[in-house]
Formats: sequence, structure tokens, C-alpha cells
Amino acid sequence: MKRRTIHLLALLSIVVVGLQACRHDTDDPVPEVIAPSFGTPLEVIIPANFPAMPIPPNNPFTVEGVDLGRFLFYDERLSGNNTQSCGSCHAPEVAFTDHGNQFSVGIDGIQGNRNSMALINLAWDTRYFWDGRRLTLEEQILDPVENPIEMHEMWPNAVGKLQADPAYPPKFQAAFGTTTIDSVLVARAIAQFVRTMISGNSRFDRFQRGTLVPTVEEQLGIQLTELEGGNPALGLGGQWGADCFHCHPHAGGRMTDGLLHNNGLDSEFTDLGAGGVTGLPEDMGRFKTPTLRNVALTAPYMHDGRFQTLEEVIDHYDSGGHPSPTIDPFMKYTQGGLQLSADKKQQLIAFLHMLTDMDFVNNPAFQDPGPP
Amino acid sequence: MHIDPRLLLPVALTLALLGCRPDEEVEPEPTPVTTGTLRVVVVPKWEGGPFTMNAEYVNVSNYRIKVEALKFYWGDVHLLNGTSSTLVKDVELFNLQSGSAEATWTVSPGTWSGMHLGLGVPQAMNDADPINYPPGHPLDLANGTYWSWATAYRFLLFDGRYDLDGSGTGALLQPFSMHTGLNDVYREFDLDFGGDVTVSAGNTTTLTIHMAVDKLFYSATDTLDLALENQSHGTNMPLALELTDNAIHSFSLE
Repeated sequence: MKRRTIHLLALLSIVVVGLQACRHDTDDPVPEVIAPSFGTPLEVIIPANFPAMPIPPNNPFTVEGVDLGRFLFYDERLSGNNTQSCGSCHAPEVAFTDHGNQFSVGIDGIQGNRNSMALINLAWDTRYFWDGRRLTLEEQILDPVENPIEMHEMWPNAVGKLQADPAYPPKFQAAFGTTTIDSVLVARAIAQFVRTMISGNSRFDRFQRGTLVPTVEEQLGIQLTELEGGNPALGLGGQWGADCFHCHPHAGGRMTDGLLHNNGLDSEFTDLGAGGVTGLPEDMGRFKTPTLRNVALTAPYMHDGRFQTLEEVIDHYDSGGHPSPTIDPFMKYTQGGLQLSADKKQQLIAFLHMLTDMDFVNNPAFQDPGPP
Repeated sequence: MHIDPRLLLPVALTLALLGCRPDEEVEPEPTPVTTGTLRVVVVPKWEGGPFTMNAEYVNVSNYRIKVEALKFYWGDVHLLNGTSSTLVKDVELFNLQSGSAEATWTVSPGTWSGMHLGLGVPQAMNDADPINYPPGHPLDLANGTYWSWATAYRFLLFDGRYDLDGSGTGALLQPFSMHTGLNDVYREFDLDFGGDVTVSAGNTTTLTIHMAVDKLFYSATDTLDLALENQSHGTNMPLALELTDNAIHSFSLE
């Protein structure tokens, strides 16, 4: 072949390749859903009696993110002396509470003043901590690490320890597309993992889905929770019920309204609750309604763990509670109480035990995976 | 003409690279804007003046009261123009916890003289399974407005506390908690704008509606006496209907 012909063929090839590279960008397919930038999208199975899960657009589920979050949740290097992890005070066998302790003890031996909250179905919540001071799970997760009476570590130190472990940077790369670890990514990974902690297979769930017939005692307990309290002869609308439904609605599976209430524990407050955050008089003594799910596993009860048993809790509500300027309007029988009989109290206990979900507690996906 | 073949390669490369300049931005044909926005702001008032949640007031019965929660649904909101009527929103939740509450609706351009709407959740939506409403929807369970026992929504929530002594100074300890709901309590009503309100394509028109909180305690013919009536949770139908009627008459255009 002549040299001139070779040159002409080369020219033709270059022009063709050049033109091919100049195709319109607008031909590219446009994704219709927001997919994670990195990692493998993970579809979390939502129980049929639950609503759709609100997932932050900037922290979608990925297989790698949830996996990473699980390691981080149980990693004690997030604490100042490498002895405590999130899982230390939120253990799966007790529905992610602190082993029956009234208060948790931090790495310096200092006792807190609030009971460790159960971590159940938090994806649907809109405020976190007993006083509701954080509005997203990602924000909430940042706090305990630096809290001096809890894990007492500075985030730069914690991140430095994770960065130095050769196992972690590849996991962050897989989950978030970077090997550079920071507190935001740690919080996002843990939040992904915590959002997968869905309890939705208790006896009550199966009853709601129509696959289980409750015992008579359980059925009566269910009814009591959805009846107004009080003597109908004294107050219009009274139904001699237990009046639980205002703050612990059954619908949607959460068994909490997720809102802040003063449930009449005290007339004067040693812990201001939400009032300590907002400073507003109307918030004094108000605390987040905890879920009733797995409540039989999460003693003691209330923000300060003052009640050891479910019977004590029911006795409190039966008493009507202590009046105060901020007691919730739902607590309407501070004089006279609900006057529940012993039988009714037992029926309520039976109902509360229906909410135990051992599939949740024993789920292998929620257990400590060991070192990364 | 003889062309030196050694020149062909650089010329070809230049041509190819020049051909790869970014595509010219083709201005898409502008989509004509055919809708406008109606921004509805509900402002709570007390006897025509400002109203603040958790502040003390003296009501028509001379009781000291303070309101701690006030939220309500509007359903099947239609804009009216003479004999024509246009549905603009199926359901909306207004929560006055922080003062005013607002909603923005996309509407067809036009001139409107009033609204026809319901206080509550229309039956079809009220009877539906609440888990089907997505996060952010007015009927999302996270709004805390669903009555599990009734498998239906509360239409209006009005909570607070009171003291029967209108001149007292102590803390208000007696609670009132009145929640309406159930399909039988759904009430339709008209809200006259008192003039024409125009929504034009591509623009936002704001409609400010006052809610006279003081009027929740009375109507032209009756007074809601907290000493006798302070709880309604679906089982006290007379009080629910009375409060509903009072609420309907509490709305007026600014």
C-alpha cells in the first residue's frame, strides 16, 4: 500500500472517530429516581402494616452503607478510651436499651440522668432524644460520641482511629466513594444501619395483618388502649378505658405519636425535658413519647427509669398523674384517676406483651459483626 | 495539486478536535406557563387582635384559657366564580402551633369570588388506609392526626387548659382537649372573599384568612362552656358538632 493511501485512511479514521465522539449528550438516559452515587442500592422490606419510610435524599440505603454502619455501631473506638460503642448502651437482646440499667454509665464512670432509649423503627421519627432536641437521625448520632458523660471522645480523634485501621477506608470507598473518613460519613453510615432496625413481626403485628387471633385477654387489652378513660357519668365521652391511644396510636406500626408530652410524672421538674432545650414555659417537663414496641424487654421505664415494671407504669396512668402547668391535656383525670380494675390492668399487660418481637431482637443482621 | 501527505495528519486532527467543541446550547422552546399559584395563609386571631399560642386570654365565659394545640384539615377546596367551581386541593392540614400556617396550591388562572370547602377529611380519603399516604402528605401518619380506634382522621384538634376564675392569677391547671372527627362531623361551608381575587399565570396570589380563635368558644346561638364541656374524642358527638360549627364561623378573609 502506498504511503499516500495510508495517510488518507488515517485521516478518514480520525475524522470518523472524532465525529462519533461528538454525539449529542442529550441522548444519555436520565435516571428517574435518585440513586445513591456510590454503592449498591438496598431496598429495605417494610412490613405491610407500616407506611412508606421517609429516607433522606442525601443518605439513601446501600448494601455497603448499612454494612459499614453496622461495624461502626459496634466499634468501641468511637469512645475516648476505646471501651464503649453505640451498642454498649443499646444492646439488641434488650431491644437496643441498656441491659435494664436505670441510667447508663459513660467511659469515665459518670452516670447519666436519662434512661437509654430503645432503638426501634426510628426511621419514621421526626425528633430524637428524650427531649427531642435533634430532628434527624444523622444529627442525633453525632452527639453521644462527644458527650463527656457518655463516649467522651472528640470526633477528629475518633475519625483518626478509624482512618488508621486499614479495614475502614475501603469500606468508606465502597459506601461513599471516598477513603477519607469524616464524622458526617460515619453518622450517615450508622443512620443507614439504624434505619434498618425495623420491628414489625410481633403478635400484635400479625393480628393487625390478620394472621393471628389474639387471646381473649389480649383482645380486651387492645380494646382498652383505644377507649377513652373516665366515668361516663362524670365526663361526657368517658368510656372507662385506659386512654392510651392518644400518644401510642396503633396505626402505622410505630406505637408512638413521636411527639413531646408531659405525662404527669411530677408536679415540679428536676429534669426540664424539652423545656431545657427551648426554654419555653410550655415545654417544661415534656418528653418524647417512647414506642411501646418490645416494651416488655426495655425496663425500667420513663425518661428517668423510675418505674421498674409494667405494672408500675400502668398504676401511674391509672392514678391520673400529678397536675402541673404543662401536664398534657390528654392526662385529664389527675383527680380520681382512670379507676382501672385489676382485671383491666392484667389485660393491658397482656396487650403490652403482644408487642414483643423476638425476630427483631434476634435478627442476625443487627448483631455485633466483630472487627471490620 | 499536490498535497504533501505529511500535512494531512495535523489537518485531520485539527478538524476532528474542532468538531468536538461542545454542542451549541439549543434553547428549548419555553413551555408556556398555564397555571398560577394561590398561597393561602391562615392567621389565628383573638377578638380581632393578635393571637399567640400558649398565651393567656379570657374567653366569652370569662374563663382564663390558653391554647396549646390547634390544627385542622380542609377538604375538597373549590374556588368559586359565579356558578363555576374548580377543585384546587383535595386535603390540606393547617397547624397553627407556631402561629400562622400556610399552603400553596397550583391553580388555573382566573378570577375567584370565594371558596367552597369542608372542615375535615373527605370521606374517601378518611376511610382509606393511612399507611398509603407518603411522607410529607397532609394525611401522613407522622402528623399525629390519625385516630387508630376509629380508623379515621381527626379533623380539628383544639387543646389547652383553663381556669374558671377569669380574674385569677395562678397557673391554669384544668385541661380541655377537643378533637373532632368521623365522617358524620365533616361539614362543608363557603368562604366569601368579599371581592374578586385574581390568579394569573406564572404569578402567586396570597390569600390571608383569619381564624378567630375566640369564636371557637361560642356561636350566635350557643356558648361552649368549658366548665361543662371540655373533652371530645369522638364519643361526645354534640360537642364535636358544636365545635365544628364554631370553627366554620371563625374563618374570614383578611
